[in-house]
Amino acid sequence: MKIPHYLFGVLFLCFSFVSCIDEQDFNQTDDIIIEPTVEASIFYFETTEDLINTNPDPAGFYTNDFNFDAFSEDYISDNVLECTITYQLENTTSKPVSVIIELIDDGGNVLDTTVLNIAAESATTTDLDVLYGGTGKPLDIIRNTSALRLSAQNLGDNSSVSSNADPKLIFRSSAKLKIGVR
Amino acid sequence: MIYRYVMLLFFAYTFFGFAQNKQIMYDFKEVPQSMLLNPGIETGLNMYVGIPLLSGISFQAGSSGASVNDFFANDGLDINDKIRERALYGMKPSDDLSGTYHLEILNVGFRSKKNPDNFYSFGIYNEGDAIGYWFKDYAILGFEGNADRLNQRFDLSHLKTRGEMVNVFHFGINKRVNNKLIVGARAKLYSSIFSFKSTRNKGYFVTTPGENNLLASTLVADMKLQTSGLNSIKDANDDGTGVGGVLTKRGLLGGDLGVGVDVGFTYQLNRNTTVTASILDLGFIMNSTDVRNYTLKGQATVEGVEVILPDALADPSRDFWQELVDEVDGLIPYEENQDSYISFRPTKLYGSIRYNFGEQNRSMRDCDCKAGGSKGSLGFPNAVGGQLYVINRPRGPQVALTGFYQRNFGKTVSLKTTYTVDKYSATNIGFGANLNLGPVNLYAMADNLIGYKNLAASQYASFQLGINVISWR
Repeated sequence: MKIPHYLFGVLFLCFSFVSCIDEQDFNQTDDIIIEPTVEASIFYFETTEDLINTNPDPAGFYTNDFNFDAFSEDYISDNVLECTITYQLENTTSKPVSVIIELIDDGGNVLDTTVLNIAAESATTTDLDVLYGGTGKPLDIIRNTSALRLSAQNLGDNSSVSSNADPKLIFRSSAKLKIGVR
Repeated sequence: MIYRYVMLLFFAYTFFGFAQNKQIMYDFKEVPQSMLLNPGIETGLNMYVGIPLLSGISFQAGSSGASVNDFFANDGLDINDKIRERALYGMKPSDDLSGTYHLEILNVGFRSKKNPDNFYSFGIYNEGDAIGYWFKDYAILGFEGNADRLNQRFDLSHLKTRGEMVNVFHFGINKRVNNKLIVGARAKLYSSIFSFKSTRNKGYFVTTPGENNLLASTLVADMKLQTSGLNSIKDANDDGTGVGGVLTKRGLLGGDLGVGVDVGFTYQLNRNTTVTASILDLGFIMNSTDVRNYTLKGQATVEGVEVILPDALADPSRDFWQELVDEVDGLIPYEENQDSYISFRPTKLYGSIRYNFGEQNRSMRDCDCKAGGSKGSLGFPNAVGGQLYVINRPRGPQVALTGFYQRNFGKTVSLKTTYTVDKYSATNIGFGANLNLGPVNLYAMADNLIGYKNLAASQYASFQLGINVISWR
């Protein structure tokens, strides 16, 4: 049996005619939004009641600046869209305490100040979320932060001792950053 | 601009993965290139010469996860929702994103005049092969981050990929042992142009409630990316000396070398029934030139900067942040080295059973082989059968089953249609045609024809075509 050679042409023309493609819109790639939100702890501070009692300075029993380059890393500072810093203060000592956190830029300028107070031997923690960007404080605070200053002030006496086992003042913090990858 | 290329690469890898099964070509005896899929194939050719760069072109595309249409259809839906629904959470880590192409540079075959039972073939072809599995947890982490995902482990083993571009110099012998059995083997010398491999990654990233601080971030990593040849290509591109020169040099035995073998047979069970099998690319490449390996190994848990009094009072000017960074670097060191490594070729296994029927072509049937028999199954107008295909992949063997029907119209026209079930599609119908116009042989094959209704929605497509000069016995 002999098949005409033009059969192939006919077959492939058929495939060409039956093959089709639904309308595609590749410009949709322009609409792709990649904005992951990452979170991690940033700073932990702990002190004993003994140490608080031995530093009766009314201006505060402790203050120090800490290098903190996480926010000022180029990728983060260039792409951060929103940041929420969560602070938590726990106090099992016998005196009320105030903790001040200041965000500081390269020049030593204070960009933002957050104050946390907690009662003596508090059964609950003091929790505070501070939003930067969006409806919160200016995002440039985060972009320019390169150091943290933590100051702690004893608002009580310098002699009492808590009946709690191993009384301490503990400061915890974490940050949640929305990053504009695209 | 770079990001645009990255996105295109992402989509290309994700949605245009390639498979390697050449089920239409396999045991399509009338096509000379089928000898590359089974060196022990039964052939009625006296000689063939492939037209350089036109004799064996194949390209295959498939995705076991999603199609172009799933993301780019002009359906009014938000593409971000489509990506989340159909890629991030719709695809599984076992969905592969793999590919190959094949381009013949030289392909010659001839029957021995001294012993017509022997058929020799040799040539050079260029082949690219790559596979990547859907890096699901990396994608979720990249698109959505780790926030509000306490205790969710992001599995680092989801990054599993390998690929290479290689020139293959080959020489094969096909020998009829007796009336029933034909065996064949092909020796291969691989000249690798480039390769990359990252297939044994382990570890995870997880965020948990901290012991001291609010959160603890833990990274346990044992990751390695091995590359060869990529650096010189990048350098040539950067300094404008020409990538072509590097590709040519490395492809012509100036890069990494390896050896391999194909073996196969055809056995005639009875007048109408034959079984065949072949193992291809049983070999390896020793990567020792222009090697760059990158490793990340170790584990660390961090809870941010920790200042604990009274200990911290000893040195008020301590840089706690830098200490933390250095500690993590020490615990999970990122390192580079130039250690040689071996990459195994993706070994493939084919098998088939074939039932021939109809009146056997007299001219072919009557051929008198030196071994004393006929050409066995050659020349039947009809054949039906089944084929098995297995390829070794980083996540284990990948299998495809094929049923086929072949119709021959003398020596001039042969048509083969296939139905294949694999992880890409359960509705894969393929069609191949071989045409002999005197000494000119033309063939063309296309796969997953149902997908042609809407190519964008198809999860698998392929084509193969070629032109040869042939002569029959």
